Amino acid sequence: MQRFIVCIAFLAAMVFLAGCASVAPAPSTEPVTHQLQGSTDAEGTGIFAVGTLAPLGSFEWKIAPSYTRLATVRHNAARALKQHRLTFADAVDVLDATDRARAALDAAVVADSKKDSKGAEREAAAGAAAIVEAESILNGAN
Amino acid sequence: MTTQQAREMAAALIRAAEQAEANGQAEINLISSLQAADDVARAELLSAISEAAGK
Repeated sequence: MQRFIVCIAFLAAMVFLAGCASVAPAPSTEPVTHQLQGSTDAEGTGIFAVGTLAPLGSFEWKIAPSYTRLATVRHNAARALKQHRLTFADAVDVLDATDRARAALDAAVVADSKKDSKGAEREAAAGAAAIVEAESILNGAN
Repeated sequence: MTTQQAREMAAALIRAAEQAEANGQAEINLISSLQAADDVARAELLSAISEAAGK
């Protein structure tokens, strides 16, 4: 029985590691779209992450880093503006670029829910490009 | 993803989990949680812009 449990644990670990390995590493300045390429076969693994409704390796998990980057850029821009490290005009530009990014990411999620994987990746790419644009404005100011 | 992105995502997930538990929920919706976190960040940026515009 103990061996059986160890085997199951080992298999679960292997599947989890395989899921991690399918995400290509990308430097923070690269569009997140690179991580989304070749992701359409990840659905239906049947494995659910503890505490979330999203299956590991699903499109949701692949686009999640873009959402976190987006929120981080906005937070950093707000802080930089308050500390006078970012001009008013640049802050408005960051807001504009991040709003475009958010709209594209949301559109990607909708497209994925409609099984439109190409549309989802196209929108995710547009979102990632807009995030890079916002980061460039922010980094140029620092 | 980069280690920094992993940290940011982990932090966002922990916040979402804490909020879900505070609301008596046992699960979180990944995308909805991250969208909510971005909504907060957008409001923060908008507030800073409004404040700067008023000066």
